[in-house]
Amino acid sequence: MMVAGKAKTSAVQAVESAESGGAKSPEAALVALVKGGDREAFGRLYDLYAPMVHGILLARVPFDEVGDLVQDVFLVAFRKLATLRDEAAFGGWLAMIARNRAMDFHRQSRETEALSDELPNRTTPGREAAEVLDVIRSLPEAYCETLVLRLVEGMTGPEIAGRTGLQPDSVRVNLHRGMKLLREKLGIGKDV
Amino acid sequence: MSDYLWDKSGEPDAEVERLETLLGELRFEPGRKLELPPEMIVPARSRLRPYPAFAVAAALALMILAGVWLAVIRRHSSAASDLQVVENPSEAAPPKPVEPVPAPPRRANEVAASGVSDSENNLGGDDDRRAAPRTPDRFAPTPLRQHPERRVRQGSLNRRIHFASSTRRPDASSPKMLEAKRAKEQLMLALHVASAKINLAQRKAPGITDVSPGASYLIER
Repeated sequence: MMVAGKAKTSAVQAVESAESGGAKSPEAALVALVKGGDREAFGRLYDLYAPMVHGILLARVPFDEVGDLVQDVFLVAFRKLATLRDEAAFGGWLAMIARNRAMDFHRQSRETEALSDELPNRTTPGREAAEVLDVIRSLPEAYCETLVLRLVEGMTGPEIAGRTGLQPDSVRVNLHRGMKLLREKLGIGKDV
Repeated sequence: MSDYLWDKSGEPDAEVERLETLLGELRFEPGRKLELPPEMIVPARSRLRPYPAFAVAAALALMILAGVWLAVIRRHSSAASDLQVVENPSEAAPPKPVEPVPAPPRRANEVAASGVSDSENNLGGDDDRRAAPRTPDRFAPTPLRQHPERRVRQGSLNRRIHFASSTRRPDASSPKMLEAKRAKEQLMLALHVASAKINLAQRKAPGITDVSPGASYLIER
């Protein structure tokens, strides 16, 4: 407990010092702490980045698989963190791991048998939400991912850009074009 | 276009808000914590760091060694190419045996008078020249290469300095050089045959004197 408490304190101090004008961003400071063996700092990174990973996965895999895959993505990231050279690029690196994990999921699910309907689903989203999500998934990948992060995870455009490592202009364009396509597909107000 | 979609600022977009509310039930649940296995640790970066340093050091060392080795090799090869002593050039590039030029047919009485057989006159190759016995007749045509002076000179020439570098002098084994050698041999043979003929004519007609310097030289001899 004492060790965990000390680690948490050091992580908070590192982030606070980064936020108060240090050279590194708070995320980079946390990554540096994790590399130094601070497991609590990784918990903090999980809190910051789990919605992004969840959104990226939700744009690609079934809803009831997303929770486990989020855990997988963070375990892979923790294991491979030593290979990350630029600590400030953690978000883009993690997003890429999540995308690759979704691709692996589809590759593996093709080789295994489909689950029967009798198996209980952990959580079943509402019918309307599932339908809207299906429409969003039918959009081009760049629009789909950005819209899920915005509409499902509730992240703003600047947050999406900051977490995923994408350019803010790209995110803005993807959001507006994706929203336009979604409105057209859903048949809702075009002039909004 | 409103900014609400971008950064949730300004007047809320009703449609976007409705979609946010509808899809919000799919949102990530913060209650679920990450379960890291206790034995799991981040591999230390320091374990990987020495390898690039070692690689760079090894590459530098190899480059230096290669440079020294190349310099030594180049020095050796330049010295060898500048001055290559060949004890016997014929070993380096064995020339083709010179085909003997057929001598003009002579009558039997001419042969008897000169005392020189056809085989002695046949100066085609070195072997033939060496095998031919020296004639006691001072007017007999001695093979050019068999002249004592020439033999000495030839002996010294055998130990000549041979420039192997093709930029300074063409290679002795090159086809051009071989052809030139062959042409020289043939020219010398032709000259020799001509001088023998003149000698013979001189002996047959002692009263006639030739004023040409070459002829007088031959007569004096």
